[in-house]
Amino acid sequence: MRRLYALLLLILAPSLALAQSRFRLTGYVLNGQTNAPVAGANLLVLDTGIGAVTDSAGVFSLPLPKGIQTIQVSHQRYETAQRTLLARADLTLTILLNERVTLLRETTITANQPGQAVKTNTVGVTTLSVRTLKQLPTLLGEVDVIRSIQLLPGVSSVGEASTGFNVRGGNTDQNLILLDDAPLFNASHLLGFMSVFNPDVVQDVNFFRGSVPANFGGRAASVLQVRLKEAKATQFGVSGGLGLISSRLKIEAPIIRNKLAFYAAGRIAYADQLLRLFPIPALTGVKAGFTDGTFRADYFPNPKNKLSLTVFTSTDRFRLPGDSLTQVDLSGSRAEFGWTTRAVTLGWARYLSARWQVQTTAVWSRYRSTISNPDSSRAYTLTSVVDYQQVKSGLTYTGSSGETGPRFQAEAGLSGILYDVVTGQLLPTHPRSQVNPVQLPNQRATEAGAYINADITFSKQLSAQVGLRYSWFGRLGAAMTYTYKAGASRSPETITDSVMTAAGKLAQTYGGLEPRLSVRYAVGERASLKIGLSRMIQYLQQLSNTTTPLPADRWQVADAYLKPQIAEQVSLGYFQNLRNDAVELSVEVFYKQLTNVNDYKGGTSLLLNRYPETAFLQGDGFARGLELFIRKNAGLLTGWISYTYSQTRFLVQSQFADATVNNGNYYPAPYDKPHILNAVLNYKLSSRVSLSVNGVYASGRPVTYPSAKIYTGGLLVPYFTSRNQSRLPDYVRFDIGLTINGLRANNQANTNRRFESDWAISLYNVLARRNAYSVYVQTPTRYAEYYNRVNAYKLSVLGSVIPSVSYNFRF
Amino acid sequence: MTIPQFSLYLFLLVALSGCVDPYDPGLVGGERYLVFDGVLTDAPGPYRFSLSQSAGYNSSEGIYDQRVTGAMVSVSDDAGQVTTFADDDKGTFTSPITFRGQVGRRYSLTIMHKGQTYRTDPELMQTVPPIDSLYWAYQPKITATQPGNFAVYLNLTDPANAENYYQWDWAHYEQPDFCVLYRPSGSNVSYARLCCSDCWNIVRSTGKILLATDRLINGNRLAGQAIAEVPFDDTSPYYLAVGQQSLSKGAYQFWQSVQALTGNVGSVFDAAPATLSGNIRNQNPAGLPALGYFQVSARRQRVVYINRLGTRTEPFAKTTYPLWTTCEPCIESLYRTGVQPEGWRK
Repeated sequence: MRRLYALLLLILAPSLALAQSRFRLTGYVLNGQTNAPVAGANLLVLDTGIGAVTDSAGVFSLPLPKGIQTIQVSHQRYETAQRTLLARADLTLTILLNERVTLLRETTITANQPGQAVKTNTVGVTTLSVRTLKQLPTLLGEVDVIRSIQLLPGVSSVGEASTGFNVRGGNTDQNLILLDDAPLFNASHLLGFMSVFNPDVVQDVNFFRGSVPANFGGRAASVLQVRLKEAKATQFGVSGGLGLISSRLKIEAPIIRNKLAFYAAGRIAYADQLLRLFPIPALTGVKAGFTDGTFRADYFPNPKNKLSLTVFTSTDRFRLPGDSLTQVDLSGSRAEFGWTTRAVTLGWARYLSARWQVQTTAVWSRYRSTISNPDSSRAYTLTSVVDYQQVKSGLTYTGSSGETGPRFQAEAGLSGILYDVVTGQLLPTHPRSQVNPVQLPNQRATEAGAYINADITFSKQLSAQVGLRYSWFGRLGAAMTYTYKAGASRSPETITDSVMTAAGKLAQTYGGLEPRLSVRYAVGERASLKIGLSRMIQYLQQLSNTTTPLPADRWQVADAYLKPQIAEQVSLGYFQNLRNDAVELSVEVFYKQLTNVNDYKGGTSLLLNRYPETAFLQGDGFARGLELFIRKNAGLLTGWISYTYSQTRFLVQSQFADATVNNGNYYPAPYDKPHILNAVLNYKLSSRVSLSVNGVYASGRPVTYPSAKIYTGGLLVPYFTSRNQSRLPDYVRFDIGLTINGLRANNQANTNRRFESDWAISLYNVLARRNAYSVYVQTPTRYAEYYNRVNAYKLSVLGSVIPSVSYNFRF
Repeated sequence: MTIPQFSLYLFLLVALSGCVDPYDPGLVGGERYLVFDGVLTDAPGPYRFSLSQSAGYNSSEGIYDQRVTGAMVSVSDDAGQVTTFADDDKGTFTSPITFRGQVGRRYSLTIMHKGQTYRTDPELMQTVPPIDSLYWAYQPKITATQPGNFAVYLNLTDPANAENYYQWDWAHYEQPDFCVLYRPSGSNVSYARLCCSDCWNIVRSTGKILLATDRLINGNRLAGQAIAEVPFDDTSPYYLAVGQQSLSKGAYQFWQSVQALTGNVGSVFDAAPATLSGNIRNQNPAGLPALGYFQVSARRQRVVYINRLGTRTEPFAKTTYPLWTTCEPCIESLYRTGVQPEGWRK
């Protein structure tokens, strides 16, 4: 604890750490073919916020913090290059760049590097590089994108084993999670303990929670854009890692040098094999495992074109003994969950001229989840599928006239999406199974979007990102729309009529404008004020009546009853860089109006429900909050501290008592957590060893406690009236991690072949605190009429220290 | 590999079975609701209904802290016949001996209490098919110290036409070796006092909710429905009377909600808590509701003796006591009877 206290002191007094830890790096950036100087190349010391631009002679000079640093050099006309070096004294460096097509990709990376928050137009955006992710202490030795996102301001999750995350009052289904442009409908492995992103292939993560650029649409709360590395067309490489739960391997190779390259990476979790060695009753029958694979090929046929193909596949299975799933009407000896994601992205970038570029992408993504029971007479598999096909094309214009002059970048594009949703299909899976097959009607819908987005720099003080998106949604037949009796709450008993829409015809349409605006006004050289306005519409939603969505929870496209969710947000931020950009500070406030939020209707089931509109309720709500963020990017001590105060309230009103929640008053959303404080600190003990600490404090989420107990059927039964009126105990966790880099053969990047390795050791939940995942009540089943006794229990998902070790290598 | 394996085990143990600690949420009682409990069947009466009051969800308040007195409970059928139940002033209401439910009739319940009138809509007594067969299988236990048990399963043929909902209960009767243990004051020896007459101890399925619907198997055989687990604590045949009752859809949903509310384990799979709604309505919409469900069921029963021989012979240690000189009368209760059960074999 004393060391931790010392670290906290250090971040508050950055001068201590900075004193003797800066050197100067000077040198040239030259064209690799002609040796001509490259003017206007951007240099960035990754994760530090330090940057520089080369002058007309290609000369640069920048300060360099002590330790291993990666310099990234980018220029519109050249391939982006990175050099890793060890800063122990002043250095000189010559960097050769290869000429090639410039893509939007590279320019946005530089725009969003840490330390640049003051200068970018957008509010509520965070970029994390894999390097930053790797410095965080990990659970089970795995670098994890979603667990890291949960440490940022404005982000929360309902608990340890939860499949999703909540952003600024949004439900878990409101996050657009993109893996190379392909949306993922479930980004979790092992029911949420890990996410599907393989750290070996992730290039960077852009996380938009405030103003989302107009080229993104379809989700109401946030965009998590995970971009994969390009396959290197120059060298062969192998990297991998051995961990306690999973191991991974990546192979990268050029096929045609400088033209065509690919990599293939995979991970496998082998929990089952190890589990068999332990015949412990509590674990008998529990089985879990996953595999995922990523393949990416990049092809540069000529300097004007670039093609890329990403194929992603992920498979999970989780088996629980006993009758774990009371929601399915047939009980069984065990329940097996499986979920699979398959996604393919084909991207084509064409460089029309120095200023014009067209990017066209075709995406296919399929999420399939199953619940099955293997008992012969009642063997079944319950399947649900979301099938997503998208084609989009965007035209980008870049009007840049030097580093200081007014800049203009604009993008306009079109997107078309086809959804095919299997909401529930029950099939007998054994010749003697007595289960009758059930097939809920498949749902088909289409979504179209047109957008225009412009980044305009009016002056050094004033710049803006102005965007407008129009989205249109059509529910396609074949679709059955039921009419319910007026003057009665919707239930299967009150159906009065049904209308069949033929295949190919439109059953229901929605549409709307989604303006996105963010304006930055520089208050000084190192401070800016930003305002963001956005409206986002979501047509595909996940319906759930459990604490956290299950893999099998139902995705459903909008129809006459399930109206699209709309989030209208205004956010205001103040950004300040301190200590020569080494420390960034930001304060953001937001208010979000939520329209058509979903909540469950008590005592109903969604699984295999032909009339889902009888099992959910829609209402309105709001979320508001304050986010403080301080991040230190340079020096021996790096990291961030974030604090969020927020409130999310729902209002579900109806003329019918059973369709009203909490008597039609505002009530806290199930994931509302007022206070969240996260600290992520990394301290370089030496050039090879770094120590990292995470600290998390969060208010407990709302919980519904019984207002009374009643005696019926020989049982004392809890009787619930109002939802979400109490809270779980607060959540506190500390993690410690140590990364030890292996000795490197050569620090300069001139050699192609080298072997690097590191050991990552971590202790997750060092305080061994039993944080409440839930509190539940139980009553004894025998002699209930004689005893008053009732019990309440607190369930902790991770109740002890979780140590882990992993070994990573690349060559 | 020892350390990784150990920590993986640790991870899975804590992660998947979780750690569970007692926790006091500090809940206090509020308004007391009137709670009805009772089933009307076509089996011979008398039928006993109970009225109690809700209590705060904590271990100090009791549901019988205040008895329901001065209530009037009656059942009326679709032929216009009204049957009033006799009140024992402790919250138990008993039907006249001549009254018996009939399949195909609709019944509704009326409760009058403290100036409020509560009613249900008419509930139809639906037919129930007979139990086709009962069978069992020996299940060895995982740990060596415990003996295994016999899982009892049921088969029935579901009628194709209607939506059917089923409920099961069971009762095990056995004649005890003695009626009560007796220790004279000042003695440290316990004596067994025999029963003065034939007496049976009863173990019931009370508190276990056994339900099924034909939603997924309509018209087929409902096979392998798990009913009970019979302990392997003796090799004598085990008497088990299994009752099968029809349920209305509303009653099925009510008991399913009760099952969800009482079966929560705090996991990610738990259904979110919901307000339990029954079929009893206060005629005064501004008044407090009455809770519980007035269930109307047709009933079939089947008796089996479970053969506990032939699985494996283990000596079952039984404690024996010296006999006392006087005997103990057999007192009727939910857990003991002097009436010989149906199908009893000497």
